[in-house]
Amino acid sequence: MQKKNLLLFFLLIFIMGISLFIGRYPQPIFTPVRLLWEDELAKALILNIRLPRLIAAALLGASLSISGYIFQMAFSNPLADGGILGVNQAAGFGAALAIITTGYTFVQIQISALLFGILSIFLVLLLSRIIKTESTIINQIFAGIAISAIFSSGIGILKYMADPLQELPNIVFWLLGDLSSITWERILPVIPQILIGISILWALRWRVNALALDENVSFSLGAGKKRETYFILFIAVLLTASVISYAGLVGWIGLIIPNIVRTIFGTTGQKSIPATLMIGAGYAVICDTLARTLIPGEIPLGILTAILGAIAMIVLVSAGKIRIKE
Amino acid sequence: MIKKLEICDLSYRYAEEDHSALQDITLNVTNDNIVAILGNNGSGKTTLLLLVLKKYIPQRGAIHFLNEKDGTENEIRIGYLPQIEKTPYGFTVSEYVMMGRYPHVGWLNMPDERDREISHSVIHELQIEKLEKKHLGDLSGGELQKVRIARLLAQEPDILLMDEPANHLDLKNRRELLEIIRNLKDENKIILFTTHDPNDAVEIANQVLLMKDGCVVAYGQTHTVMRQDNLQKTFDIPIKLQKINKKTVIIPGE
Repeated sequence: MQKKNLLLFFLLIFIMGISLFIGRYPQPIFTPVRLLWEDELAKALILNIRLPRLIAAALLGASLSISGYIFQMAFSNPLADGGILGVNQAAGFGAALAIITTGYTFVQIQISALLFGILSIFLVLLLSRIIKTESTIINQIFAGIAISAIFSSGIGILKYMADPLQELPNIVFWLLGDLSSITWERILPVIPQILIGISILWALRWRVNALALDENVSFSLGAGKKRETYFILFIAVLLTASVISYAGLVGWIGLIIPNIVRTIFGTTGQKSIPATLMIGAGYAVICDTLARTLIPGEIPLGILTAILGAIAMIVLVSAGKIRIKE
Repeated sequence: MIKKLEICDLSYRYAEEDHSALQDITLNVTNDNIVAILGNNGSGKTTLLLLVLKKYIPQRGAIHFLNEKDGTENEIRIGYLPQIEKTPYGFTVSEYVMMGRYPHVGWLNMPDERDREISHSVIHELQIEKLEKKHLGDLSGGELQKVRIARLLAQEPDILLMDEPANHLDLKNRRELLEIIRNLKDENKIILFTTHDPNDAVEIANQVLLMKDGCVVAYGQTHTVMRQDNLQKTFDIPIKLQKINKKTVIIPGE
């Protein structure tokens, strides 16, 4: 097991290393490594533009994937992720609200995204108890659809109200989800909270399995108590909101990566959490590298992950790899 | 290690209902006993188990566990096997059985060598080694029931609460399961299990609690409680008792 994790880790480092030198300077596709010493412009480009962006992408992939894994475990629903539950849209609304009311100040965007993310998870928990179909999974998905629609229309209203010259472009651009404007100043402040969140979930990687147990069973085992569940969900929302506040709405990663990892490594957190983190990070780095190099301009990352995610989802479901069982 | 379970005048009413689910239940069980709780659906059997589990708080009465060592309630572990369980999605049998070790593993810790040993030995005892790598979703009803009991035993509980453990099992599996429960008695544990079938109780229980509409019809040693009048009152139908090969067999109907 340790060996597999180590292998995945080196693979991730390798992908990140390659990505750093892929780009269109000085000529398309690859920047020779020696330019790091020989060319001041190349050095600045790699260290001040590509490197923060690379780190932002890796943290984004790891955070969204692990959050998806936690949501899926806590809701016993392989389709649960920030997008389907409405957490992404709620955090997005929170961020857009902050952009309009306080300008483009990063701390406010973050706090507002986090608060609305937490609100949405409570609403999902509440609504999925009120909605009464035969299936708890359908209840959750209904709740998620409703919440996501409410916050999406909220975003619509904000766009309508926004100053079309200043705020609107900011919001629209940011809603597409991309990392092209990432600088050290924007990514450095979020790194600690993301690393702390990830470390906590890593440390709890066996404990999180209790989330999937029957309520009375976990009670008898003294695990998966309400406050423990809420704490773990809070960390997952914190990670999602942190990422959304610097990258905008990047969907599908939290849905796809944990499902792929589960089919390969199994469901238990000891095996899945390390793999989810590293494969999620690697996947996001690859997607973002494609996003900035595939065409001379830039493809928003959120669009790329949605296309690839949808394809992967169709493949997984038609191969019978996502099993939904009540 | 547990010495005794005392339940005094226990009453419980669900918040949304206007009549009591349980009324004045009193039990006294020492650690070499298997107690069968018998009654029709809705007689309060599951509610009683959940009260002993301390999942629900009784409005009246009390439950005491007495510890062998110091007569306190310290370190008494209660294991619970629900009748219907939302089995976790996608886990293998060995991973699921290991979850029984949660009370023994610290919050930020991983299961260690001893936890692995115990869950292996439980799996070995129940002879389900060949299922270890299988997913819970791929098991048959009888296999799943044994796996769930393995999870319960891996917890090393002092009190075992089993809700309809033999329900929906075929004859062979039912037989094996009752045998497993009977063997647990020798380990100084208290076992409470519910059942619809009085013959299960005769087979393995030392004590029987007959319940109807949340009240006790009769409680005591199996052979004294299992009488025609008590059983007819509990189940609301005519019941005959017959000796076949020195075993008492309970037959519903005229």
